[in-house]
Amino acid sequence: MSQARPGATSQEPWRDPAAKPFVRIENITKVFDSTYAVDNVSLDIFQGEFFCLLGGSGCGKSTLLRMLAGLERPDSGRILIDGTDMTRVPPYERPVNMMFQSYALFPHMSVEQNIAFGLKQERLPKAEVTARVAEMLALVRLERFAKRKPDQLSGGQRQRVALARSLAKHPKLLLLDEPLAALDKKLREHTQFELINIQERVGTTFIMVTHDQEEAMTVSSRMAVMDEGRIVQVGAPASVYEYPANRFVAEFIGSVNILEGRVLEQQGDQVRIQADSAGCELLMDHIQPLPEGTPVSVALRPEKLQVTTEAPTAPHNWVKGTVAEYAYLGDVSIYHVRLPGGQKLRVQLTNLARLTETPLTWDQDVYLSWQPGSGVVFPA
Amino acid sequence: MNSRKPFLLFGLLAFGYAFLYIPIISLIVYSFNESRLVTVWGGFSTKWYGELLRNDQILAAAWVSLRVAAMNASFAVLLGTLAALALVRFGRFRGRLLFTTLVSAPLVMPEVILGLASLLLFVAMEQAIGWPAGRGMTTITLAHITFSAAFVTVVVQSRLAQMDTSLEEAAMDLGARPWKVFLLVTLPVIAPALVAGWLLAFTLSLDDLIIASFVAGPGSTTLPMVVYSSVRLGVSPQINALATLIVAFVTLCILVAGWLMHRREKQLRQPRPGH
Repeated sequence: MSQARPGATSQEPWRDPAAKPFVRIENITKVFDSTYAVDNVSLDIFQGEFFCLLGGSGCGKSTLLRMLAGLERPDSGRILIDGTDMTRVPPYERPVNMMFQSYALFPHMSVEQNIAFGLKQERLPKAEVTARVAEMLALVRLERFAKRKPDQLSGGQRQRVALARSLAKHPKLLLLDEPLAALDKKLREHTQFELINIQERVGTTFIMVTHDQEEAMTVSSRMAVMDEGRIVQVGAPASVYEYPANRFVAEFIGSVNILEGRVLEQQGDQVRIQADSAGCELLMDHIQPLPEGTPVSVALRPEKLQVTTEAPTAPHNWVKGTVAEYAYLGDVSIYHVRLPGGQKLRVQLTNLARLTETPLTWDQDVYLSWQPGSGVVFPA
Repeated sequence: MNSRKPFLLFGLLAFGYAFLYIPIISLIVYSFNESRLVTVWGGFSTKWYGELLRNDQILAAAWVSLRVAAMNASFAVLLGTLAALALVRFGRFRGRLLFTTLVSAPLVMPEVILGLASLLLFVAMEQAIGWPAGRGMTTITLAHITFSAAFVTVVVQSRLAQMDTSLEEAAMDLGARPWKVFLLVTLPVIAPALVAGWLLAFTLSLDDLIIASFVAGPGSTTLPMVVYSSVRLGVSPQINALATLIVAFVTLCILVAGWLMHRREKQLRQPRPGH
């Protein structure tokens, strides 16, 4: 969805080799109790980006964010923000603010006082503090709640106070640590779009940590997928989803079917693969030549499989199976199709017409087919 | 539902409370006794309260006790808070285990030993450096601080441990230097625990007989010491009246401390998603 944003498509600084990164992370390593929380990570983030660090729990994404804030000190490596080395600068001297997962609102201060806290530390004149607080309250639409204490607010309101407080000092860089994790699903989806709007209005560079891949895909201009302290892949949401760098990314982002097989031969830009367990032959796009006999995994997204009740005529890229399970979710239906070898493939069909009776039923024989360009081949 | 079960439980509860509170209730009731004999009811009267207020020895002792208790509580809060901060906020420093043990030792040490040890120390110090000169309020206060500080540490430590560390991180992130973070965020959040700790230390000092008996000197008799010695000469209903006042005062302190500890519970228990 972020691709549709006018600002994002016209300027993609990461494609421009001459562009100067706004945040530069150079070979950062952090060790906790002899395990590598962050392991030699390098990353460039550009001005105005909404960047997501995505990964499961314990992948090092929060530690990396905390090092950007100055709350953890890296064991080695450098962090540059707007050209200045910030590696050894304490958090209270960085032009960076953070929104905490727990929101960390000061319980003994009102909404106003919470937002004004950072401004008062800068010793801004009183009139300016008042003006800036009013501006922030308007930005998050909380003018009516200025005098309330945090414990008199709902979860969503607290979340907005935390955002307003972290933006009040006009930081060069805003860090968000799982900012939406405590909200329920509906509110979370709504707030994702609100975050995008606010980010576009203030123009600040955002770096957000999340474990929710849908959230990352919704809000980010680019994202970095992390696993065991390393960055596995960096890219725009669409390129990470459609061209995952390896099996981990393919399985982490969205759902995917993996077919195991080995290479029969490379034919120009395509590779012919025998998938023994599935009992079929595949012809997939793959530019880098693979030698014959190489074991490979082929990742196929559930929505890219076609279902027919008659056998396709093509010599490859289809497989026969029977419907094992079926779920109607309203907008889409999910089928689990059992192949002769026992493996189940997940298929997602969009319910284009109003559906009162399912066209496919349990134990029905079906044929699944796909295009050479709709899957990704990984050497296993 | 079985209706006999709640009845049985209620009976047990009533017995438990009776066991705990009947002695205190009878003490309070007999403080309003007209008769000079403590165990014989001679009608309602408040005369012993009046007599108590004319008893200079008891009033002087009460004044000593209150001053010792207040000074003790203030110093105990200062030391206990520092100890709690060291234990909760400074991570795993060298000697942390030893420090923890040393801080909590006075909680389990028999008071007779604490009293004797303090007395020996004060005597040795007087001979070595000339301070504290003789035994008196100073030595009682010092001895009380040693064990009250341990209790304050426990109270403040638990409040600090409950406090979300990201509050302090957020303050620092917003530009506050460490000492301002402490003044503007940490201190207000743990303030109820400091007040509760102060009241706890105050009552502990007010109640203490054993340690005070060891380290007191002439002219610094505390209230419990007066009560104890006058009971040995035969109980006067005056003591009942005094005890009633003490019970009322201590109850008030405990209620205020408990209320303060629970008041901010709601704020501290804000939903806190795991990492």
